[in-house]
Amino acid sequence: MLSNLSSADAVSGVGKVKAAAAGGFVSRAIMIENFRRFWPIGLLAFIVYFVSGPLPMLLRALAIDSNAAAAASGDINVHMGLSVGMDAFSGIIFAIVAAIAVFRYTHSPSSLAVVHAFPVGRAVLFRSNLLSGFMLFIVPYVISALLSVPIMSYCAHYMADHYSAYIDVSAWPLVIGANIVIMLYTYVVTVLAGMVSGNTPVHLMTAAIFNFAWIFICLFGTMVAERFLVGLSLLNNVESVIKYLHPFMYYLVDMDSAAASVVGQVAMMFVYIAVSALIVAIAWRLYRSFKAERAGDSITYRAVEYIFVCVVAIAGLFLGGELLGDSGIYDVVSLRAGYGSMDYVDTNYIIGAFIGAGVAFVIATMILRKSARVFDIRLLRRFGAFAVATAVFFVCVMTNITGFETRVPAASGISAGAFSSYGDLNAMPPYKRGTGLFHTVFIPIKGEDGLRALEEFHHRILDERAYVRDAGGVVYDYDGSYLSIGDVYITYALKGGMSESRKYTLSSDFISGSDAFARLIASDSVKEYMSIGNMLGYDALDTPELYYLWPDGNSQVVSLDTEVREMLTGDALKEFAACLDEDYRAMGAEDMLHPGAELFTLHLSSKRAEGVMYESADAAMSGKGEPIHQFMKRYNYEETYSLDYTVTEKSVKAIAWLKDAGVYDSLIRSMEELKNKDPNTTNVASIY
Amino acid sequence: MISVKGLTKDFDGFRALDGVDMDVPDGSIYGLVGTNGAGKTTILKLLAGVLAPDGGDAEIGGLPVFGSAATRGMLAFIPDDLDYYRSYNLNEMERLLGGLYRRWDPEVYDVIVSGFGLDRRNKLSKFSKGMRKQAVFAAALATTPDCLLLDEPIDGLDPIARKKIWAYIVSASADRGMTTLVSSHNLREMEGFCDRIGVIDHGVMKLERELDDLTSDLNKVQASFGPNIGDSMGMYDDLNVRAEVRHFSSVGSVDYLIVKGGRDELMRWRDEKRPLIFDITPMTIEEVFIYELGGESDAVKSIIG
Repeated sequence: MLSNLSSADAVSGVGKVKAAAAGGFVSRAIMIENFRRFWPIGLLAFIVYFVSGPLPMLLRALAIDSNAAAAASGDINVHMGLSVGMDAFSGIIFAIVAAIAVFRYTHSPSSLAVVHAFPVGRAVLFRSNLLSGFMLFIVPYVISALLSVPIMSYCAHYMADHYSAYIDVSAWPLVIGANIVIMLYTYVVTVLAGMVSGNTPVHLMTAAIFNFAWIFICLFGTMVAERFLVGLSLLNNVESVIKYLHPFMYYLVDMDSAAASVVGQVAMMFVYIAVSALIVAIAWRLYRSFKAERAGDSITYRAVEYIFVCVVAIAGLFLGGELLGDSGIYDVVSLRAGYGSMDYVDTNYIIGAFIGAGVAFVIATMILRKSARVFDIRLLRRFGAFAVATAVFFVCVMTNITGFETRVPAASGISAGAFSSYGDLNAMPPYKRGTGLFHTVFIPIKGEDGLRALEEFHHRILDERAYVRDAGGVVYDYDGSYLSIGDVYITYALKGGMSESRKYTLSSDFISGSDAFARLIASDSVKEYMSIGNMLGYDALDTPELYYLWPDGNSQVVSLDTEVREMLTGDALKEFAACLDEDYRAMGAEDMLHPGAELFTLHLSSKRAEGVMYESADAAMSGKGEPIHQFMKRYNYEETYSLDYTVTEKSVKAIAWLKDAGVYDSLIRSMEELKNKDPNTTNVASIY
Repeated sequence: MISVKGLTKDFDGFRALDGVDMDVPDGSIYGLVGTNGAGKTTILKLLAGVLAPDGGDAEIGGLPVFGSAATRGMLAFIPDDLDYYRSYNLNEMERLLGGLYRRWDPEVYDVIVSGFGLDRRNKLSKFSKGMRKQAVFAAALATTPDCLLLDEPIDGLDPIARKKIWAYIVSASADRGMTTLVSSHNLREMEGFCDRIGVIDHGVMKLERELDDLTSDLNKVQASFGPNIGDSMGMYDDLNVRAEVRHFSSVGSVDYLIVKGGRDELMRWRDEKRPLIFDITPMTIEEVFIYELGGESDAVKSIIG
């Protein structure tokens, strides 16, 4: 045997053995090896991409005639499956799996000893793993996306030729680009997570934390702060910011919005690519300084250990708080049932939060130390620090320590204001019901009387702070009955250039009985904004209909008698609408509280409503709104916008006009007939 | 070939290596002996560039080992735990290592794999621990390294496989001048193959010697000049001039000595002094180590088996 080996050595020699590339930007051998070992990931990824992309697209294309009409009436791109959704979601899963697979050797001391002894520089090794992992899930996606090109092209031509429905082909590369960016970003973040993780389960957890958990922590933290700090309104601002924290959230939200700009979305791709490059640079630095002796530890960098434990504890805090806090009808301390008091909810929430945080803290420490024996002074010290920070947070949001809850700007320092109400609360006299939109829209408040009324209303809310707070947390009245609640936003633009915003959850009882609210909605700026002429436009009005809302919440819209209908058209309708507005403008605060006996409600609508909708307080205060018909289209509402105006005995101008026109009695009669219908046997809609 | 100066390594405050000096000449086979936890694997991982030293220098062929892919290209390291290769068969190992090492020699690989009688298509996970070691050893030698680092290579192998592995190592050292550093917790495994032995204990290099130096001229001498001689120590003054008495002790009238010197010198001294009892025995390597390491402590017992 020895002679065999010697002869082998003798004949081979160094000159005969083949040269292999060990240097270069990447190691071909390492990349090929990764492909050889992990090809099932790529294959599975392709199958999933294909099944969620080209295959359903192909099936829709084969049945294009049966679906075309429906597709043409809706969003054809969404109908064809062209959106950031399933592909991105499965891409995220495969990006995480690929990152864990190619860097898994760093979690095992024995594997690390073998791989790091290879004659490959760490930089080359890192780049080779990084690139091969990326290719594992991106190449199948690109192939799958390319397969969908001919299908989409066929559908586009077919739909254009046969149904005059045009598929926006420009959206297609955008969706693919967005999906790739989402996968890339998730992948590099997971690689970074791998550099601080010492085993696969913890790698998975840190990947979830680095990618998403902190986004939810921001969101939940804001929600908790809003829950306890009466008036705090940060969630909308936080939501609009945190969507940028992960491309999946950004593109999911933004591509769903018709207002999103393609240029902005493309620009964000470059931003995410740049951020990904930065994350790779950080991951590389960590990999370069990676200590082999820490392979197998849960977390390989001391600094990250506490962050890991704290993040898990915060998740436990929210979970525990929500679980126990939302069982707030029971007092956890006394185990007595009770309704309507936030005291129970607060106490329960905090008890739940601390229990949840404590349990999560211990579990995270066990994971970290890979042992159940963690109860020592070190754990106590660390949890103590965490508990103190948590307590400080709760004290800050519960005790009005900063005076935030009771601060109302002086009227002299306010330059403009805006307020918003949602749902039922928008049913301000003379209107019977709200906008019917699932969006918060704002009403600009101008002029001295309007701003004073807004400030006064704000003060009135604060006078009833305890009650308001109860309404925010409990949707049951003291007798256990359901309360109708909604959020009211108040915003001031201050003369110094700053602004102050508050949000209160108020019950309909509070609103309907508030003289301050009545003065606010009777102010000139509200009436001017909410007038028929401003919201719908006299020229754009459709023929009115009759509307009735039964006490049980059912409602119905019916056509007017032919005689009335024929009368309320053209110039006559404009004239009548102007009379309604005149009556509205004449209403004072007392009329808002007590509008008088209702005669009938007219359903006024327009397909081309000329008014302006303000989506934010800033937009309302600066007058930069969006035409209602555009707003409706953007959010996929029906194009028709409507107002239900209730004519009461105090609507003198309108009554006089109708009487002059000879249709007043007919309207009253129609209304009586409608009222006497049985809502249970009539085709009615429910407002609930 | 391998030069280690003042090498220090700490693990979370625990000092695993404390200023270790080591010198392994070109083409030699160096046995690194120590109990479990003595620091053998740490030295090997430091030399393989897997661990970064906290202090001191480690060089192979005059080049620093940590962070140098070029240095790692000159060496092959076989760790004790071979789990990484479990999912490989021998052909896949050849593809991977053949792609990574410039000096991969398929013929060497083929000869050794055939020599061990290993099936190339079977995954290493199907192999026994010993067969897995043989497979990885074949791959390591096929990289035709200048320097071979082996962590407990014989552990778990049957006597025939052990003999083959040593034969391959000796052959490669002789034919190509390959330098080998092999760790073991058992001194007996090293005897007969190693040129040089280093004994490490608790991260400190206790002893580093050429094996020939240790065993060639150390002898145990048992002598007695009878009960009436009194203090017999003076009888050996002359012997100490001719040779070197390293150790002297008496039990009754019998004296026990460890003498460094040639057998001829000792025989001449016996002829001149004519002791009543004279017995000369060459020291075994185990006895030498017990003596050199200062007694038969648990650690020493463990090393000499």
